[in-house]
Amino acid sequence: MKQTQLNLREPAVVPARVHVSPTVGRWRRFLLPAGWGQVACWLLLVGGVWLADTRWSWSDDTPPAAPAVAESPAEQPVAVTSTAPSANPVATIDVARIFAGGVPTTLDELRAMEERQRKIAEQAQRCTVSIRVGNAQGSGVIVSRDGYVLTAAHVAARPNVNAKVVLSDGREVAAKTLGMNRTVDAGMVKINSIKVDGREVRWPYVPVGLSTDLKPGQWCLATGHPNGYLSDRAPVVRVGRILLNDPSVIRSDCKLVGGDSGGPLFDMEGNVIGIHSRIGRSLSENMHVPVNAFLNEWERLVQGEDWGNLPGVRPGIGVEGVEGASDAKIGKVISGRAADKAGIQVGDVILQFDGQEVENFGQLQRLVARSQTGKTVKVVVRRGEEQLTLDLVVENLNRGAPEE
Amino acid sequence: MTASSLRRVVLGACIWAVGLSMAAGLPAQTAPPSAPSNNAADGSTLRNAARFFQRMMPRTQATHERNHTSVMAAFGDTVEKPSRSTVRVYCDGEQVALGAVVAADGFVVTKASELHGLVECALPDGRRLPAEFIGQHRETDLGMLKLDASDLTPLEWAAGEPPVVGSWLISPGSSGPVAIGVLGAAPRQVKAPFGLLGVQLQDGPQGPLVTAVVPESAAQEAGLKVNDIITHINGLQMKSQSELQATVRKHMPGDRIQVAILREEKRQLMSAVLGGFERLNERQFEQNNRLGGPELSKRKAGFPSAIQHDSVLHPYQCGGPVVGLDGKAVGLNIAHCDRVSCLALPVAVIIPVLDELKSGQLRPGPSVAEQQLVLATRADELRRKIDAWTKKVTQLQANLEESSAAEAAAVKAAEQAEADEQAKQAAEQARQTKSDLERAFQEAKQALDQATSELKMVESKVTLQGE
Repeated sequence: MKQTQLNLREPAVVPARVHVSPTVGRWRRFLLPAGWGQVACWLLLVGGVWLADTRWSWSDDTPPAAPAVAESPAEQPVAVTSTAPSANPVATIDVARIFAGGVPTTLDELRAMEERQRKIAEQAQRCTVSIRVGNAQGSGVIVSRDGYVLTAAHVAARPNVNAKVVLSDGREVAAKTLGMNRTVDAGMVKINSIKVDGREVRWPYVPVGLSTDLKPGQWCLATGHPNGYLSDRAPVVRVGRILLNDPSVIRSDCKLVGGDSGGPLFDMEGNVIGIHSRIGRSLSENMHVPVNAFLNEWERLVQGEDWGNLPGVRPGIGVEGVEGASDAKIGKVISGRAADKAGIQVGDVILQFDGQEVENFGQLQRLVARSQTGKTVKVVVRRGEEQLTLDLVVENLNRGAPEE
Repeated sequence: MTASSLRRVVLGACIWAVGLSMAAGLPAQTAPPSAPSNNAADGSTLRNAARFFQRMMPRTQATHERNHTSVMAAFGDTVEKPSRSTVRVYCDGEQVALGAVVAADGFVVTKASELHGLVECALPDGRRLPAEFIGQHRETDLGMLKLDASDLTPLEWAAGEPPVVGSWLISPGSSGPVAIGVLGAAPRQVKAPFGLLGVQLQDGPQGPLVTAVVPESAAQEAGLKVNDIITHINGLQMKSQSELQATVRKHMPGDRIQVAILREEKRQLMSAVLGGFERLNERQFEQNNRLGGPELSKRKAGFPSAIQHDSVLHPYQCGGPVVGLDGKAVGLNIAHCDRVSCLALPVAVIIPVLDELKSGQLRPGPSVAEQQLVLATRADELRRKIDAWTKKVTQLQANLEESSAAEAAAVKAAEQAEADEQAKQAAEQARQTKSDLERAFQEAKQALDQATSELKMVESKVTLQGE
């Protein structure tokens, strides 16, 4: 498989787009409210007794103990070559063919697979981190020596807030959340840079691959902190196979559970190909954000942009229009909902929504559908002779789905 | 907690529906072996029905899944040898676990907490033998079974450290692998949450006094009431509430403990199944961990050391060996603990307890102290019974005397008036009453004698002091 090494400081080398970013419509097909039975669960851990014990200081003027990883071999991303040591009789086995979607048939092939699994597991564990944002915890993976971390949007939660990253060896370092594409659940975090003796501390990291050409049957390896971080347990390794590859989601049978959110999925060359997001009803429904979703929007994520809504979220404000009206006149305001809370009344005509001119109710609907839940927007309304500007917080019509 | 973090709590607890487009491949589920013919326990009917429907459901097992039979087949050679040392353990006719032969002369080690009732082992050669549960080790949850056999093949243990993360781990069944997986986390202690009884206490002269019972707690289920005095837990005398708390906390949620109380000066024994703390998001947690996979083991924590692997095992497939590619056992599967993993005890914690388990020193069942309490409670009960019977016997004796006198009078009256039918009838009735009373008196006396002799026997066994 083609391997791409990224210098994450220079987005110019980000590979050309291979897939157009998924549209909301694509998600809808998967995630609109449906009959019960098919259930997806986010993998974030929030609150809980054990978190109360492990609060940390946000203070930036107390830098964490200097990490001593500068000279560590993992400073270089280690791509695993497909040739086993020549002294080993296993060397003749074409393990790449198996990992690309084949099935092992002999003990020697299993041994060759095992050798690779162990090697990748070790690197994967070293670069997998626990991420704490507020009272929530998830996982993440360091993908550059200067500390860029890929995670899930629902772990990072909000851009540009303080976070804590716990490295696989237990060291805790301060970090900041960057941008997030909620549409696919992609989030980014950056470990705050630390200088020791005038030199920037370097972090152990793994290379990022491409999720473009993943085939069903291809083998993969997952790490993360299932059921939450434990100080006496390194990131937990699982091995499985790709079952579906779509521009907006990868499905595998690497089993995931709460706390794994944001953790990495690797191909058997040791490249990150996905980020854990959520699970479904069966053990073979483990969903990952394809890594291309990060690569395609790298600069926006680095800049801290926050766009889209998480899969399953439906933004709404709780109003109905007046049938046949040529303008966006409000015929009904649902009590207790966003518009009601903002002070919108029956008979008001919406003139502007979040800085955009509104000509009719249909246009208002489209603007709301594109807005982000939880975000405060300015709404300009005409009430009789008056023109008022109201603050409105867009809400999620899909109760039970995440808001942020 | 801020409003936003509250919202995040909601976020963590969210579940919502997904469209049907996800081609749902049900997890590879090996159909559980059918119950042996001798007796299918009534209690298992529902479970059997559930399994039946599971098997009837269309199974679109994707050929690309790791656990597909095409992949599993590659491990056939690996498990060939350890399979000969793997047995299926049945309790009351239903498979509850796998087990590993640890000595040729009939010793099989398995998961203790799954055992109950009549135990049998199905050997790889097709024999099915009755087994005696001779040893239980609480810390590791290992149980020792003894079979009447001398020709079994003992399991071969791997020497040295457990394999490294990323290594294949294979769980053999009696024929072929039941599951494959990869070692995901090195050996570590798996702590257990502590059990809760659910009472508020206050120290009293006779022991901790119950001042409140938490609704829906273990205490309420067991029947504990306010003003009960808890005197013993599992036969150990409780002098203070702190002692009681410390004793209860040594147990895990789900453990059954024996609680001895004094209620209105009377000793009573109760059995309580301990509860646990519900974490803020415990339900979501549990739901997440049960999503799509087999049931979780009842006992899934509290192990001195365990390795974690990503095999998919049913609780009734735990207790057996887990091997590396060389076919040597690196441990015993001890629990299916969450959605992503099973736990296995490494060789290093198994070997040191095997001899003790075989010796018979760790026989399952109530401890001596618990047995003593049962006897002492029975003695108290018998003494109360004897009191009651004694009173009844005295009363009946008085009644009988009265009745005898009445009968004599009635007979005399009937003799005097020979032709008087009424007098005859009265005499007959008096005789009847007297014989009824006589019978009741004899019965009461017999019951009293029985209780007295049982008490004598019980008292001879009670060695409990200071009661």
